[in-house]
Amino acid sequence: MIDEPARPFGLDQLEAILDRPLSPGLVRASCPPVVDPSCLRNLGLDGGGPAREIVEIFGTDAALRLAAMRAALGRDAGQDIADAAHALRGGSAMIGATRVERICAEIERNCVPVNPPVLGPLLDRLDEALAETAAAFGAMLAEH
Amino acid sequence: MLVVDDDPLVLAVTARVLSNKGFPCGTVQHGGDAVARAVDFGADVVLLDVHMRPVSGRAVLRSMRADHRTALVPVICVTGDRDPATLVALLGAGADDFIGKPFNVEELEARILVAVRRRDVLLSVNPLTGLPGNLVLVAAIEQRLAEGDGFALLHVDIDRFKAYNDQHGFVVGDEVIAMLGRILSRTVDELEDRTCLVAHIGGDDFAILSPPEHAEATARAILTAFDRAAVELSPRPGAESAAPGPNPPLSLSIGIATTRHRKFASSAAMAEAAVESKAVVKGMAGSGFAVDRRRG
Repeated sequence: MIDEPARPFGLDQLEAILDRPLSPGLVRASCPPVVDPSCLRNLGLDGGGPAREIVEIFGTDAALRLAAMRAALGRDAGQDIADAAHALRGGSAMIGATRVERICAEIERNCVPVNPPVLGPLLDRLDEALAETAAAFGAMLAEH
Repeated sequence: MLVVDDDPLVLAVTARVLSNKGFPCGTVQHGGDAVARAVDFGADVVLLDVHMRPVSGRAVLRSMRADHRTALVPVICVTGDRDPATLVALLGAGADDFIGKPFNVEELEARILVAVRRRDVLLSVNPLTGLPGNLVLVAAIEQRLAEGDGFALLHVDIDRFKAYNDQHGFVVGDEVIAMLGRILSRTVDELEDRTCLVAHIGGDDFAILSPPEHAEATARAILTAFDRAAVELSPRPGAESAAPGPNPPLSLSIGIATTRHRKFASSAAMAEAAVESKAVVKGMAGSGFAVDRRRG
């Protein structure tokens, strides 16, 4: 047992514990997948033009939101970062961009009050995750 | 179906998913445009994101309810927030239902269909009598025909009602219609059969669906109650409210079509048979009913 939230606990609390950096010496058993293909499948959008269109919109929108978050961090506007992260998290959850979704949740937790030493690296991680997500969706759609 | 969401991705995904499910779908990204777009698009349901900027979902909801053109359009709020206070506030602002975010497609489809059905019933209810109207009646007939249930359709109509209305005015006329609605409801209640349906087709036309074995007794009970009440209602000659001219008591005609004698291919065919039976009674003096006994 590493940690235990007080019961009843919310999803956010549980996620916070799961996302907490592991102690030295502990190795994370598994890394969350970049994308969850079942989400697009459940939406009936797992292949073809519509799926490509959705992934394209996701990429464009996510890049704009990341830029908005960086700009907001520059002016210590925590609520603006939280709003952008929240919106990106919602869209990511919908189409199964799992890694982006988890990073956005972490960003949201560090926005109010603004925590620049944590947020800066998180935004960099988000940038990397977006690239990984684009590649993963690309590979997934190439199979169809 | 109109989807209102400030997130272009959610908007695109939702619209695509709903289109795939056969819902004609319009989209709005800015909450400030939602009411106008709902009107232009003729939205039968609005799927509204709660967490929007700069115009919030709650503000959109308030605008929709304040505008007579969208006041009755069902709104399903999309929110990941399960805080009871938030949900209560949204209900207070006029939300009809909620769905979580991200949503399950089957659940969303089911909630949309429920919202449409509720809206249809709401629009179908007659404000004068509180009875369901044509949409509910036709659906009930079609369902019974499809399931092969034996039943009777009673088409109830006040004789010479237009002349009565013209003579006494619509306020008195409405009282008669409301009275007939109460008589029909009471009579059917006494059957203690919850499968019965009383519907107000419009004006002075009503319909009842009942088990075939109760149809004639029900018609007799209705006629007796109506004739008794009509004598009290009709202004007597010489009374202040009475207009000049002949003033016979109102009477009622009931045409009955029943699946006991015929098979009907559709609600329209059954309604036509009931009207034909009613026409036979209309030609006679006083209240009465006729049953379509043609075989087929």
